[in-house]
Amino acid sequence: MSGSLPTDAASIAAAVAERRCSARSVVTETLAGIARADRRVNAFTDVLAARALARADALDADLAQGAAAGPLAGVPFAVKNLIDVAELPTRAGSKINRENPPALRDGALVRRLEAAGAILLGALNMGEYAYDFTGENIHDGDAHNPHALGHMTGGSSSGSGAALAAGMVPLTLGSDTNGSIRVPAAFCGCFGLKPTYGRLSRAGSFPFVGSLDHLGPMARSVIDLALAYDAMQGPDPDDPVLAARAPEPVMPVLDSGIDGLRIAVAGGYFARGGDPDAFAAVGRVAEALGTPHTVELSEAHRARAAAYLITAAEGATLHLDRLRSRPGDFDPAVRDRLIAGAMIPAPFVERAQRFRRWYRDAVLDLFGGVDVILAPATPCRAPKGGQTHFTLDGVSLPVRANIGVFTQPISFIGLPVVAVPIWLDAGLPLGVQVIAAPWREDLALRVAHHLERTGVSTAPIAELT
Amino acid sequence: MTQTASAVEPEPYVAAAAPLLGITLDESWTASVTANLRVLAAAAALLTDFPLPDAVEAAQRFEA
Repeated sequence: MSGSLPTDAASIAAAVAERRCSARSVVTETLAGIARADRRVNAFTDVLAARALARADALDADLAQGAAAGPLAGVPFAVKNLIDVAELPTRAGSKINRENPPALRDGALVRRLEAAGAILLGALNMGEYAYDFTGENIHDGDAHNPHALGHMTGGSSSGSGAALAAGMVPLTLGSDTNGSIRVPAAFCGCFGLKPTYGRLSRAGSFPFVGSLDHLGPMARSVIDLALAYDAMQGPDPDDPVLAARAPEPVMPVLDSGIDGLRIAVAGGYFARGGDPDAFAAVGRVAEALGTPHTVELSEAHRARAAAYLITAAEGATLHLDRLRSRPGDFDPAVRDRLIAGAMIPAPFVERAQRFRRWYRDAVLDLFGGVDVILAPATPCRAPKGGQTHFTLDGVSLPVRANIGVFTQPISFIGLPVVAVPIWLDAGLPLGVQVIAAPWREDLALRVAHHLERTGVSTAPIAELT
Repeated sequence: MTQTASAVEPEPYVAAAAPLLGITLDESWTASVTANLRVLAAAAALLTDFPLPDAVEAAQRFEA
């Protein structure tokens, strides 16, 4: 978006609620912005102009008749294309799934955001079947990082990060199995919330690894993240792993600051194996929060290995029929990882699941002495598009498999994380994970909000040049 | 996981497992599948090397 209308969700909702602008004008301007920017960014795979305009008109009519405005009234948003959108096939970044019949109704989180007044503008590019950290897609074309078009967006929620960084919408949804919200948030310089495993409904989304899949919001401000998060909470019998918890709104406590919070930096595994810039970003956040403390998540390297195994095995199980019948229609990089995953002996996968239980208990013990843990989101800034290897700590490693080294041990046990963008210099951003104990999204969001209010973390709209 | 060579040579295993799984493996994919399996084997070794107590069970319905 650009021009006379505000660019953040909270301000748009206030303006629409107070009828300082119409929802139609917001949608019209948003569509124009997408048309201008997306030719270069390739964030959208579907733009739903007619649907969005109809919904905007309905909202304007309701407000004119005195209806109460929802907390996201008139806020344009878009969703990763593994989330069901009525009348669209849920392609999940693949060639194969786009041949499926159109979804009969929207996914649960789309319905909840629209119930709060938000307006769906479209579906977003992603890595095939979410097995991706790069933002590359051989079927729909790569998404391009708006802050440097020749660089990766990160993935697999590539369009979700790119649409925000380009200023096309103020709110997106992504999914995160091993880092797929936090990586594009870091590379594209925006905020992302991966909630606690089991917090937000995944009903009406195409799965990847049921043991590890999360959905969550991404935005350019923490208030916008919190508004969306609050609107999406609540039980849903259609998601078998959703916890039976009442909503715990964070907006009432978002301004509580950080006084009294025990904050520490993750040492050991999380302090090596990356570019110095990645650790400098964490250092900047730690300094701003005044914490000299470190904690060690022991055996994090094994946690990452276990996440890697479970991902490959469960992903392969999900896709086995397609691997048998249509292997040539996969991205070869995805296909070959899945085929290898199908061949993992079962005892290794069971061992990884047992280790998950052990590691969870060990990390939960840490939270007896600390409220929030800081760690890098990625080991480096966004690599160049097409780059296959990078050098970390003097070791040449494949990019695709190693961007998630710092995110995987956290999502492995379902901890809530806010990824906050940090700009060390005039170059590309980095991300820092603000990690809390299970069900304490409020603490991670409070810290992220503090960092934003104090100017430590910002999510500017890129100037596409 | 680094792509270091494992002591295991998975090529015969890949060739045997593909038909068991009902997957027709094109010859040109074999090297990539095998490389991926090596990485997975290295990950598995990290876990089998770790002395998990017998009493630790996997969570049938994982809760964070």
